Amino acid sequence: MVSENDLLIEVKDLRKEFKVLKKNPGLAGALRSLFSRNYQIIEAIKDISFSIHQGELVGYVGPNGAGKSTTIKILCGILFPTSGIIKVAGFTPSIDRRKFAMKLGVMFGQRTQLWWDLPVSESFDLLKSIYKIEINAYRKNLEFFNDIFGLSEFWGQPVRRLSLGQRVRADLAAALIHDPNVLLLDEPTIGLDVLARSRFRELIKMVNREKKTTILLTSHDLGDIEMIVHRLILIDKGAVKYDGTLKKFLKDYGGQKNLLINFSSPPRIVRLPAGAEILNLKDNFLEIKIDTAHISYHDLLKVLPKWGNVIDIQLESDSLETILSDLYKK
Amino acid sequence: METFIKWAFKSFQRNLAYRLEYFVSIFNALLYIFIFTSVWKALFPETGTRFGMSRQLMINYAVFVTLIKTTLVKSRDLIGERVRSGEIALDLIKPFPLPLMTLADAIGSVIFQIFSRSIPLILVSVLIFHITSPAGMDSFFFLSYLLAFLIFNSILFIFGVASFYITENFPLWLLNSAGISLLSGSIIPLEILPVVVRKIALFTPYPYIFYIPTMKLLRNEYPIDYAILRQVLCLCITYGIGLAMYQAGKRRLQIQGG
Ligand SMILES: Nc1ncnc2c1ncn2[C@@H]1O[C@H](COP(=O)(O)OP(=O)(O)OP(=O)(O)O)[C@@H](O)[C@H]1O
Ligand SMILES: [Mg+2]
Repeated sequence: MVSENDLLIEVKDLRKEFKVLKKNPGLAGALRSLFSRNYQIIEAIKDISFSIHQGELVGYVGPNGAGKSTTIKILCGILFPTSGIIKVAGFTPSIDRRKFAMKLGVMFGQRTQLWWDLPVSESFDLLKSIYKIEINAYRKNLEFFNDIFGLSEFWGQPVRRLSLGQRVRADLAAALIHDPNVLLLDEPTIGLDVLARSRFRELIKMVNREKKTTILLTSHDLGDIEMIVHRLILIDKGAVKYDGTLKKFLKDYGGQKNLLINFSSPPRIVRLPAGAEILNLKDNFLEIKIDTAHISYHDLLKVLPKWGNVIDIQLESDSLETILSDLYKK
Repeated sequence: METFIKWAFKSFQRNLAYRLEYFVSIFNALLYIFIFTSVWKALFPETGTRFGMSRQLMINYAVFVTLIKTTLVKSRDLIGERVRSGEIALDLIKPFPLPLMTLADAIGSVIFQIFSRSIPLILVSVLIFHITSPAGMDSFFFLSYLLAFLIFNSILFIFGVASFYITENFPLWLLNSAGISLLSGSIIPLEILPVVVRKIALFTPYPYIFYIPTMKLLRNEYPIDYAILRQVLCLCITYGIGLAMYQAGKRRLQIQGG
């Protein structure tokens, strides 16, 4: 099915250091730093390797400062790596940047690639000639994005007057207008309302399915990740912590489940099984957390009738959010 | 090429958006002309010459150098600003070279300024400051002006790209502004500078931006081929330095902001 030749993004032993001038505190310190060449090395990326095949849709997650944006900047060739091998669509991004820019779509959610002073329409017109987009393809794509994001609402307005969400919608369309092979999205859903957000998710899935665009997406909105991606790469402090399917991740790390049990009268709890933990007991309601590594539902269900007469059970699995927040804490 | 023209055109359009800047710059230019024509009237005798310059020549100089300056000068460090905000990332991901982008941008705005600023300024100058039609208004002048524009742009590019190395390139920018005001002849012609300073100035690119084209315009007897040749040389050097700094600087560039 997938062969080695399908490799589209290859990152091997990537490292990136930033050299920053060390500042001394206070006025005297500030004066001293004027003359000292005291550098501090910040290791933004320690060691990251992964490879992504043609047509994959990958979520790239990690806590603040993990190195996600840095990786994306390196993948699009605007930041030079300290060491390591990077190949994207057969190019080394930092060297062949301009050639490969034609096949690349990038969006940084908190920035715009449109021209601040120009109306949205003029920005797209410029993109059309920069990327040498054929007129029919251009029209078709514009119409497509207009249906999804309602660009015509603000088509004639200068970019600086758009609301955050409108600007993000325009920027998403701009990143995709030239049908890129590779799409890198760094927090693309910043500021989108619920409707635009769900349309964004549909759009990404559709683009991935129909145009076979390879997509790498970072987002702190885990809904985006849960609903879009098949594969998850989790990084922390500049190193890969998990790389595999989202399903497996939820299964492997999401060992904890919460149960909310409604008894007909206040339960009498005898012999709490190992692996179960009482979170809350109030009147007829018992909230209990079980660690599925130690105890199965089946076992728990067997002991429940001994505590009282069960009327109702609600089950809550760990969401990606709780799993990640537990992981980030460690 | 299509992109280049479009870009220049869009830059032209963008200039239209800032009306206040337009009026302020015209007012500014008139103020300059007014101040310096008055100063030269006070300092230069009505007949005869000083430092080889007559009063009428000095007045014409003040008017024409200001005209050339108002059409060429861009006081904003576009590259530096975009490096500091991190927006440079979005220029660099596009399959269009940054040096060409900045050039197209400059062409758009210089064309805008030639049409929008120089015409009212010339009219006012003829009426108020009684300038006479310059002797050297010929195709050599336009060549010299074009070269001046390109040199000026190369210098801006050099100082802009310096922000790839030192993000806070403001001190360098100040240095550049000092060079422009003192050595380029934008305020006082080189003749009036002390000999040493004049000699130093001629080794910097600055006189080739304002002094040379203005002098070409004012007195045709200036050895013009020689001057234009030097402008060409100056352009090649500054352009080469800018490009080399850009190529090497891309490695150093730390894109700000996550
Ligand atoms: N230009 C820079 N100079 C110095 N340090 C930097 C620079 N850019 C990033 N860093 C550091 O590198 C690390 C990784 O930053 P990066 O922006 O990649 O994080 P991130 O994973 O995108 O975080 P977030 O989720 O907050 O966007 C951080 O510790 C940051 O402080
Ligand atoms: Mg980030």
